[in-house]
Amino acid sequence: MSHRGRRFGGFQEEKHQLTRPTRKVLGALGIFLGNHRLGLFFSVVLIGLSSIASVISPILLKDGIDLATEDSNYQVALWFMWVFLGLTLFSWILSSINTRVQAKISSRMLFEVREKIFDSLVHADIDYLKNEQSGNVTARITSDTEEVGTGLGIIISSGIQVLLLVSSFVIIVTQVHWLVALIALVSVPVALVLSAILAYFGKRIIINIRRAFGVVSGKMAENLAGVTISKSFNREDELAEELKKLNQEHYNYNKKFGLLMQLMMPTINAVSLITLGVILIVGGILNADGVLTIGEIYLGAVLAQRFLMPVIHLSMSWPSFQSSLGAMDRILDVLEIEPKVTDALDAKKLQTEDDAIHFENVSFAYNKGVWVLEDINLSVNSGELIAVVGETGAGKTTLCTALLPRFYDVQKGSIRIGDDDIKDVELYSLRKSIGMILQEPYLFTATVMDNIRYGAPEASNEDIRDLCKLIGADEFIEALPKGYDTIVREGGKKLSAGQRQMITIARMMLANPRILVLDEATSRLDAYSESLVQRAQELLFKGRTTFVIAHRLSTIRNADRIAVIDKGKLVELGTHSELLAKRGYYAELYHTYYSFQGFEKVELSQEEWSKIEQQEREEMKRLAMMQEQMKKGKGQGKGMMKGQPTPHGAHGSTGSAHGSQKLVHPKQDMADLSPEQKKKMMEKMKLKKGKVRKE
Amino acid sequence: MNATTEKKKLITERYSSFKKFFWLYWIKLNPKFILVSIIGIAITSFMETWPAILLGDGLDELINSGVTNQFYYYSIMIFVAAGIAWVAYFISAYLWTLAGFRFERDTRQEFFEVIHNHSMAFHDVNDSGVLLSMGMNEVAQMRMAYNPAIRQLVRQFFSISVTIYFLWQINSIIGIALLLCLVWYLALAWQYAKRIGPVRRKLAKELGEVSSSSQEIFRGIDVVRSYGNEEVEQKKFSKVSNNYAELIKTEGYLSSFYWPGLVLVVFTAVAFGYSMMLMMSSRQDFTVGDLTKVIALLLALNRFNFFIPRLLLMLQAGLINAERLWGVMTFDDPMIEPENPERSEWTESIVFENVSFNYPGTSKEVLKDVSFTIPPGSNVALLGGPGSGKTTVLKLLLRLYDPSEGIIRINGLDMKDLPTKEVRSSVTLVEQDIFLFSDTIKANIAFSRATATDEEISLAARRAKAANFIEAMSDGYDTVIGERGVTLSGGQRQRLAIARALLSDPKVLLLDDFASAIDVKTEVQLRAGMDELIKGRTSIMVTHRLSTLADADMIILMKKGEVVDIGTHKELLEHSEDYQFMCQYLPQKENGGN
Ligand SMILES: Nc1ncnc2c1ncn2[C@@H]1O[C@H](COP(=O)(O)OP(=O)(O)OP(=O)(O)O)[C@@H](O)[C@H]1O
Ligand SMILES: Nc1ncnc2c1ncn2[C@@H]1O[C@H](COP(=O)(O)OP(=O)(O)OP(=O)(O)O)[C@@H](O)[C@H]1O
Ligand SMILES: [Mg+2]
Ligand SMILES: [Mg+2]
Repeated sequence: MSHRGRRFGGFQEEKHQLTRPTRKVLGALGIFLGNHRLGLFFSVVLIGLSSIASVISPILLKDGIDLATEDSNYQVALWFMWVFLGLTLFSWILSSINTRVQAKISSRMLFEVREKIFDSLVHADIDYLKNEQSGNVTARITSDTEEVGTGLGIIISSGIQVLLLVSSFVIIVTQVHWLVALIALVSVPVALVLSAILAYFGKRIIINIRRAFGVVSGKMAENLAGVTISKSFNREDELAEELKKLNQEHYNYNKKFGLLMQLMMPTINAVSLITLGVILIVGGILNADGVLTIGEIYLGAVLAQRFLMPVIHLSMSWPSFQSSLGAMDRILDVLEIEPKVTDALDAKKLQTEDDAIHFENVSFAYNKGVWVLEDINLSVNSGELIAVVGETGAGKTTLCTALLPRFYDVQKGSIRIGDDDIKDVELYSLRKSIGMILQEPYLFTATVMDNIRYGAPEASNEDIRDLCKLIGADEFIEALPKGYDTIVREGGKKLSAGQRQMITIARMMLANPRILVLDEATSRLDAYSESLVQRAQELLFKGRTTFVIAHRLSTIRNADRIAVIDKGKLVELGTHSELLAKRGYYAELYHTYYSFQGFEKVELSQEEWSKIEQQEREEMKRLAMMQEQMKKGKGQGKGMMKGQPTPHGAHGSTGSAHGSQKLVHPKQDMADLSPEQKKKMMEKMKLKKGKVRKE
Repeated sequence: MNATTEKKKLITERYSSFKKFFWLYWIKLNPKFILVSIIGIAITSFMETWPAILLGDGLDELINSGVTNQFYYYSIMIFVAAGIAWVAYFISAYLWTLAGFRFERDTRQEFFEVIHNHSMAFHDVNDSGVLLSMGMNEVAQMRMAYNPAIRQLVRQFFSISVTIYFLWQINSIIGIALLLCLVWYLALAWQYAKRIGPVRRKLAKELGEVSSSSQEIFRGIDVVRSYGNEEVEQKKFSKVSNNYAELIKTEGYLSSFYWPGLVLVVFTAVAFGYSMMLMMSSRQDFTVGDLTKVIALLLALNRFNFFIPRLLLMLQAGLINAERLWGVMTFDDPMIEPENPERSEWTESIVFENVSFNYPGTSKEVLKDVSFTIPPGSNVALLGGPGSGKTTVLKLLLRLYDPSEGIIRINGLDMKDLPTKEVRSSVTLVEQDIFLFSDTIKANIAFSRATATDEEISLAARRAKAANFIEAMSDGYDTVIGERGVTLSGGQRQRLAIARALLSDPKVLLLDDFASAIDVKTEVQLRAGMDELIKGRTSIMVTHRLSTLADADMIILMKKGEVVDIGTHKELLEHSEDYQFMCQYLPQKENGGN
């Protein structure tokens, strides 16, 4: 939640050197073009015809002028007019049709590129997606794709320009004079030099402008996301001041770019005028010698100017062509992703008999050499409720929500469900069998109803209502402006933290999974709501294998067994009383800290404090070392310990009513469902799976 | 130079409508630049059109007398025109460009300041992604309306005028016909821009859709995968992306068959034929040179035809964006700063008198007739279910919103009479979801008080039990956190937030259920930090922890926006059924392991 700002793609570090040979990148562009060979061929024909027409019409003008110098009649003038008109109309119509054809081709091409990228990304390893800076991924799909589109457009229009260039040249040589052609040619190197200058300086400035723009944008995004905080601390003015500086920087680069462009443009115009002047003089002299007619001089002047246009056009589009090559290069990075976590060739559906889960000698590292989990051996019986406890960063979330659903593959050891190694199972069936509530509630922009339905598209509205009633969410959802049809926006910014969590709970429960993973699932709820959720869980999912990551003693105590993880190692495993008797890590935790969850305050002695601080220092050193290692290895570590900045946001506890004696509240029963309705729900949950396990 | 620093009055106060804002503000920013620029453009236009005449004159001279000095004079004047045009173009375009970029910079800044200063009522209903894109892209598009669009249009205007003048000189009928033709042309072109404008706007919106929908999917990729919904999302995206592609096609279709262009083409052809006839009939006053002049001028006009539609579209987009920005900037803020601001010492009670509240833009009352009194220096706990209004109470105390009904009294004063700045400098909130900026740790702590010295910062960190982990980092207080920096754990973030709150030394401290998300060890440390924070000030905290509740001087029990009971832990245990009910679910201290 806390770094929402980055969602809006702020600053994006881009590479500016191609990582592939240009040939390869061009080849990739060619493939996209190739899919529309027919359309493109048609378009080329149209362009060819229309450029022939547009080159012929000046010849007509020339002949007209030459004719008019001699004596002729009106008929001839009219005839010229009609032909000229016909030609220009012809060229107008052709190029209009061509625009249409190209609109169609290019829109399809963009669509295809986009689909390809999306397809590649949506199946990419989580590892990849989490390591990419947020915003970057989206940039591939949006701006980079657009840029590639521009590049494709440039390729096509360059074709036109080259055609024009060649045909003008041929006509000048054949119809006018080689000397005039030579003059026209002289302007080419001038234009080329100009474009080289533009490319050299322009590229750098453009990169800087983009960067500065990204910085301003990122800052603005962050400030908008943190508006509550800046208001609470009265910091609006300072933030505005900060932005002003960045804004000024952007302006400074813009200014440079403006200077460059405004030096370039008139120079090009001047070259074109000078060419005109030179041709006039040379043409005059040649005319005096009787070599050139007036009309031919005129034709030379017109064509020479037309000659320059393609050259200018080509050189002006060079920088944006380059940047679209860059975009294509980045897109290729995405298209060439080879997901490591994929279905095995002979992958089968997960067996449905046995829900026991075995972690065998599991070791795992997000980044090579930095072990997050080491040699975990843990067997969870079918139907067992197991609590996973440990300090921040111990690896609980990694174990249960990253490895079990096979978002990542373990480096050593294996994970089995029943007898199936999860590597041999179809991902889809594996993940469908596991229901998870992640530490960080995440909602989509959709109605509340659709959010809850996310994992069970076939569920009826009534099912959803019943379930929400059961967990006590119905009440507040009904109270939303449009009840269940209210659209959740921006991750649910108009919902309270607890409400957001409730919806993710309902979503998981409705999906009716065989195996449950609750990662601090009720941390944002008050004890009462928590108890409702817990009872619903018991009612609907009793006897299913369940992992509960929790900090709250009451939950932990009531688990069948407790797994204690410390710095990536499974240090203890057993029931509450077994572990207490062991007088190990858990017992210490229990006696020193858990009592804190009751009425008493913990008074820590000086030694205890220094011990804690000592531990923390060591932890930090460990982290620092990891960072170092990461930097050395691969050199791709951007985030440090976590690819995503937020996963630590929502720890908490799953309390439970069990164990303490219960008062029956006079006013409320646990849920507004009648016993029949409850039964109905239970039936539904079982029937759908087609498997009933007795416990 | 920089207008925003000097002026006090906001854009929205200076202009009465978005149109005036659009047309006047940028000129106002740099009137001299624009003036010089316009003169320069006029010169450029003349100098770039004149060579067509010189060419004609040169050819006439050639026909009549051959290569004479006069002929050379005409030719050389073309070079002179090129030189003058170069200088005039550079000066005018550069100045104009500067004016445009300045407009962009200043408007972006002001836009941000204005919306940032709008109250939460505004930010609740406006999507921050949309606001961002307005501040960045739409402001840039407005700038593009000035530069290049208006600059080029002005240039075209001068060129056309010069062309008409020259043609008039050659032959008045052609001149007049061209004038009429151009009026027709422009009318058609504007019509065209109007037709394509909406498609463009839709296109921009669709692109936003493509971007936000993909962003959402990849941010929540673990959720997508855990429900095996990759294909579903792919289909959804494909639909969005297809809509966009179809729109692009539509736009392309609309821009083909550009009818206004036809007008010019036909006119050129007709003028060509007409001039030829003229020449043949009356050799004396209509020369070959004249014929070439007419054609050259008209061909040049056809070249403008290439740009004009784009320019008109840019202009149109700029106008529309101006309207949108204007709408957002003139948001009618329900939060009004008091006309006669009072000061409060916050030494007496905080009183809620029958406060009801609904979030702006919604009709649901999330607080209903809430009344309570918080004595100074007391330690109050708020308890209640999800969505019962706890966070809302805290937000009202920060004056992020004003109650819809009822009064919040501070020292007997109505909170509405206290400026928001005043309230917020006395009250500090530690939020439920900690927000940290991607900046250094130091800057994040000092966020609550910019003037804090390094010692004060490290003291605050020490008191919040954060110093330890900060100092263990390689860059200490200068460590950058966030995307390109170190990632902090939940507990560490919260301790930073506490250090931040400590540094602001508030009179009233609001803590929103901030300890629910951390492991026990961290929580114990946090508590120590918090005790420091609470000492000697009024504090109101949302909590579900029994020990905190038992310690509180007063517990306010909330349910669905109403206060159901108030009292100490003991009192409530005795008389409140709701509280008893709540308490049985709170984690209890157990007597050893059983
Ligand atoms: N995507 C990631 N890339 C790299 N490192 C990661 C990633 N996710 C987690 N880590 C690191 O792995 C370790 C274990 O993290 P994990 O989230 O599993 O801990 P946890 O026990 O769930 O802690 P918490 O109680 O804070 O949720 C931590 O050091 C963390 O920084
Ligand atoms: N910005 C907003 N706009 C509209 N409604 C809102 C907004 N913020 C909160 N609400 C609604 O107001 C009600 C009270 O929310 P509030 O955040 O005060 O609850 P809470 O008591 O803090 O709950 P929790 O314990 O879950 O944090 C909820 O129903 C919520 O949906
Ligand atoms: Mg975790
Ligand atoms: Mg809240």
